[in-house]
Amino acid sequence: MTDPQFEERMVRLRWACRRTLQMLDRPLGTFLKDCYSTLDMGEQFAFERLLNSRDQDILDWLIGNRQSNDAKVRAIIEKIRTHNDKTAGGTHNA
Amino acid sequence: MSEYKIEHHTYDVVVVGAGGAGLRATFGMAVKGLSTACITKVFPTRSHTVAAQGGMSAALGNMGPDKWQWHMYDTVKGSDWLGDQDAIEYMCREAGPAVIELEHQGVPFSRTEEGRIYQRPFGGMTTEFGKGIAHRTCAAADRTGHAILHTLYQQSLRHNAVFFIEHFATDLIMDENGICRGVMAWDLANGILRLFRAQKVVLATGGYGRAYFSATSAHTCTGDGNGMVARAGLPLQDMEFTQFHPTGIYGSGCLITEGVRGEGGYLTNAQGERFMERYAPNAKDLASRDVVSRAMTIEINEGRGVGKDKDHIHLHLEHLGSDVIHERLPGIAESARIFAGVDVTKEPIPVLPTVHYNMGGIPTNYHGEVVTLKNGEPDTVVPGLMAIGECACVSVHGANRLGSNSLLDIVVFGRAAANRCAETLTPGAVQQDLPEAGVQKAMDRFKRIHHADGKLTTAQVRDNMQRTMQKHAAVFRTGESMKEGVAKMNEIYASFNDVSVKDRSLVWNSDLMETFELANLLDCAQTSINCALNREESRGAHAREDFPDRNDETWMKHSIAWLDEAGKVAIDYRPVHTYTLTDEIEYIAPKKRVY
Repeated sequence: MTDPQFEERMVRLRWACRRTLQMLDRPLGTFLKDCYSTLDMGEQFAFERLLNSRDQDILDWLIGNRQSNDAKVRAIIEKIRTHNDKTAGGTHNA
Repeated sequence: MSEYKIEHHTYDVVVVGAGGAGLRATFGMAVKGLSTACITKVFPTRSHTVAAQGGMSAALGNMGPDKWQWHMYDTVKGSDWLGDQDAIEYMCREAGPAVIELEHQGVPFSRTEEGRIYQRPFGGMTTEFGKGIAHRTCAAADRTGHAILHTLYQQSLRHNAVFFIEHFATDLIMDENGICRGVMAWDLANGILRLFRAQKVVLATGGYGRAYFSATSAHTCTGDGNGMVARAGLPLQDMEFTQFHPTGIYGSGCLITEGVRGEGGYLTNAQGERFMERYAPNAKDLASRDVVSRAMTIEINEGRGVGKDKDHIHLHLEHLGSDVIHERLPGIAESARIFAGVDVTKEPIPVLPTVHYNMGGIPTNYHGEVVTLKNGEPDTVVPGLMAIGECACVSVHGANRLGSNSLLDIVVFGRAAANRCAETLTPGAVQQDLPEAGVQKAMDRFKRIHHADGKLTTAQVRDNMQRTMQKHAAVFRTGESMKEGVAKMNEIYASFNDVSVKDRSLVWNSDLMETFELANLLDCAQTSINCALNREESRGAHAREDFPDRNDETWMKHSIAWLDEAGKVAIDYRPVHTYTLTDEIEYIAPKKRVY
C-alpha cells in the first residue's frame, strides 16, 4: 500500500472519480477507496476504462437503463452497485 | 529564486472556462484570426453545460406564430423587471440566428416531420404577451447541453484554438490603472505556474452552486471567475438572486422531477405530518416550486426536519405501489436506490431544496465587457476584461431565470464577446510586459495558500459555509435569520486564514485545488448573503417573509458589492436599463408578476 507508484495512481484515480454529474462521485469514489486495491489487475483496468467513459453513460449503466458493451466494465458496474447498496443506505435515513 | 517553475505565454485573447460560453467565445475569436487560448480545469466536454437537458429558446416560429418581442416580454417578466432591457432585446433578437448557426455547426436538433427544428413549450414562455403558450424551445432530445458542448469543442479544435486543459486559473493580473493584462494559471498535471499575457481575458467560469450544501452543479461550479474579479477590486452584481429546485436527493445533487408530486407523491416532516396542507390548502404538494421550497425550509428551520441532523424532508411514493412507480416514473426508483440507498416502494426519499442557478455575477454590458461603477458612472468599462455565461450578470435573467434561457445566454453572449474582440483588437498587436506588482500579488497569494498551515481542514470550513448558506440564505429569508447568517459567515470567512493544506505537492493536488476553490466560494457566499440581507423587498427568486412585496420605487436597481481582504462587503447600486436597443420594441413597464 505504501508503494509510491500505487499511491500516484490512486491520486490520479481519485481525481478521475470527481465527475461533472456529481451524483456519480459517491458511488465511484467510495468504490475506489474501499474496493479498488482488492481488485485483480484485469478488474482494475476495467474500472479505469469505466472512468474514461462519459458521465451520462456511466449514469445509465449504473441505473440500469442500458448496459455497457464491455463485459468487464459490466462486471465492475455490478460490483459498484453491490458495494453502493451496502454503503449508501443508513447514512441519510438514520 | 522561486520554488515554482514559471512559464510565460502571450495570446491575443485568453478565455477562462470551457463550458458552452467559453467554447463559443474561444471558437468565435479563433475564426476571426485572433490567437486564442482557452484555460479549463476539467476536460471541455466534462464542463457543467453537459448536464443541461432542457433546451434553448428562440422565437423561430416553427410550430406556430412567434416573435422575438414576445420572447423578450416573457424574459422581462420572468426577471421580475430586474433585467436590463437593452441586453434582453439583444439576446432575444439574436436567438434565431444563434440557433441556425449551431445547427450549421452540427448540433442535431430534434425535427418536425416537415424537417424544421422541433420546438416545445416550456414554463413561462408565452405568445402575444402572456395570452397563449409558445412552442419556443429547441432541443437535441434530452441531451441539448451535451450536443452543444461537443459541437463547439470540435469547432474550436478545427479553428486552431489552443487548449490548456486541467489548468486552474488562480488570479487576474491587473495593472496600476485597473486594466486587466492577463491571468495566472496552475498546471495541475506538473505544477508549472503559467503567466498568460493577453489583450483581453474572458471569464466564462460558470456559477457558484457549491457555496450551498445542496446544489445540482458539479464540483467544478465554485465561482472561480467571481472570486478573481472580487479580488481584483471589482464589484459583483445581484448576488442575492439564486434559483432553487425543491426536491434534490439529500447529499447527492440529483434532482427528483416535479412529476413525482404530480403522480401523487407527498412530503412529510419529522412528525410524519403532510405539512404542505398547512402552507397551501388547495394545491398542497402541487404548489409552485418556490412555495414548496419555502415550506420545506421553514419546517427544517423550526426543528421538524428528518434525519440525524434534522436537516431534510421525506418524499413518499410507497403508497403508489411499485406498478405505478415503474410505469409512470421510470428511473426514479433506481435513482433513489443508488443515490439515497432507498427502496421507494418501502421507504421515503430524503430530499431538500437544491441550488439550480445563480442569476448574479460579474456585471457586464451586452457586448460581454465587464463594467463597474466608477466616479458616479455606472457603465464604466473595465479595459481588458470580459465575462460571459453564468458567471456574468448582463443582466438578462434579472431576479429569476426562465428555463431554456441559459443555453441561449451562453451561446449569444459567447458570440457577442467574440464579435466585440474582432472589432476592437488587432491580431498580434504588441503587448507590454506584465506589470510586476500585479504578478507579485498573484504569486504571493499562491504561495500563501500553498503553504497554509492552520488548524482547520478545507472540508471543515467548506462544510460550515455550505450549511450556513443552506440554512440562512436559501429559500426562507427574514432579516433576523439572515443577520444571524451574516454573523456566522463573517466568522467562517475569517476562519479561512486558519486553513491548512496537508499535501504540499503541486501535481494532482486536489486538496490544494479545493482550497483555492473554497476561497472563491467564500467570496461568492459572503457577497450573496450580505446583498440578500440588504435588499428589503421580495423580487423573483429573492423572497423575504418580512418584506413580501416588490418595491419598484426603492429597489428597482442592481446591487453591486465590493469585498475587501478582510471579507467586509460594501454595497452600492447600478440603475436597471429601462430602455431598449432599437425602436422595434418599446420599454416594457413593470406590472405585477402573476402566472
